[in-house]
Amino acid sequence: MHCRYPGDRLWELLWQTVTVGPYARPWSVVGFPLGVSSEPGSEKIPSGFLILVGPDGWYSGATDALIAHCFSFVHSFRFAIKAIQTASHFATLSDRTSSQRTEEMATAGKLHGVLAPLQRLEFRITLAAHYVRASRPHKDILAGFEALRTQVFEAKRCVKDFLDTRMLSVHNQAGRESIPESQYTDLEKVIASAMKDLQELAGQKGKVFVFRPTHVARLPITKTDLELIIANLLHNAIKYGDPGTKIKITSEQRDSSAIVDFTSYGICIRPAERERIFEPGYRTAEASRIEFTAAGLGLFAARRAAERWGGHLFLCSSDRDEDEPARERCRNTFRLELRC
Amino acid sequence: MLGQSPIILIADDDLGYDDDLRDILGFEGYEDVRIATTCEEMVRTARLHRTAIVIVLDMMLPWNGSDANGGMPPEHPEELRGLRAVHDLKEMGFDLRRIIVITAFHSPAAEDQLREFGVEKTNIFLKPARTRELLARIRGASEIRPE
Repeated sequence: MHCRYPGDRLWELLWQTVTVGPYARPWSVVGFPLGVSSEPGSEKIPSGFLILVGPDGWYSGATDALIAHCFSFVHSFRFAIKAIQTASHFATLSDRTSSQRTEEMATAGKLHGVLAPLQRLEFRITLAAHYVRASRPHKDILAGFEALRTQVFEAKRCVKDFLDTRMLSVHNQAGRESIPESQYTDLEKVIASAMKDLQELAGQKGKVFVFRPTHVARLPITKTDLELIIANLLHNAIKYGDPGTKIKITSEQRDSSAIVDFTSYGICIRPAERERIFEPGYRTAEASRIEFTAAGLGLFAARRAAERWGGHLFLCSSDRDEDEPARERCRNTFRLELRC
Repeated sequence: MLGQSPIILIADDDLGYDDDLRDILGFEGYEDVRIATTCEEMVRTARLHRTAIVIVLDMMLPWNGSDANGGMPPEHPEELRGLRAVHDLKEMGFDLRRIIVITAFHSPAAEDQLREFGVEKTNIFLKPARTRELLARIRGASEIRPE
């Protein structure tokens, strides 16, 4: 069997799903979505999957490229992190004001939440490569790549959350940002795009998106910031919501505001914690049990992004499930308000 | 040389990290890889196997099981539990060239202190450390003759 692939498209696999299922065969066929198709006469596969077949040159050759790209991923973030670390190092205490030390310590703490998952990622890449080269049983190899994929996703999110938070801390000018009308953002397009990106993850966790838009004018907020807010809220709903439930998104315009509600069913958030969940690094005990390695920065970053544009993000309600009051589960609604 | 397969002690309280690194070391031929999740445990193990051990130490390792601040950035760099542990190792006569430090907490003051103690500069890593470099340092530390 022989396949062609454009080398730089391998980068995409870092954010794609490792598909095993019907494409995993006893002779070690593993499918990665890459946007390519196979040669005529080969096993019939959907367009977009690279088949690694071993034990022959194809298997190890393609895997080496894959491994190299994974290391490149860590390396690129290593530079970004080192730049931040250099700027944040502890000088002699007398050279720092109290608030500067506080900020540096906070940065050091946030960095720890990022660097640990990156180190795990570095190790898992190494292990995945070892499993292949040592011709381990195929189920071990597949498990190794699945662990790698999971860690890539988590590391990417942690780093992005940290950098987003830092950028917002440095540049935050609550309510004072403005852009020309030509750069206003279509809310519904951003939500639809975010849902599409997270569709597969939602499906894996047994959740379904339901989006009920009404027409909302284009909003004076950058696409980047709006994407950050929406992605964080949807990702949280997937992570912390109950399997088999819906994640409902509604949007409407009321006077000069756009109101977007994100409703999901899952862990209850006590009244005392409803504001605290927007603090950087704060996580409820149950959230930590569900997802140990998350950095706890997503809601902080999302709220700061909304506030930059004169908007607001808050937990509107966390109500006990009326159908099953005995269960410790709640219907949670986050509300995003943005100026129109 | 410490021997064909010295004891490698991973001193970190992140068990997932410990398992991954132990698996990697297994592939590299290290047969005796142990884990310490507190500084006390690390120092105790080092005291028992003083001349036959290489330590991979996380600077923010909690001092013991009831260390409420273990794992968190300290108020001052000199409060890093790992620094205190390295000091204790030095006091017991442990060859600090056989310690590899890997940390997510960047502190030039702590790094200077480590080097004053006798930890080699090239054995101090900031996370995320490249695996091959880390393994090279472990290999180098394994080849040091006991004094």
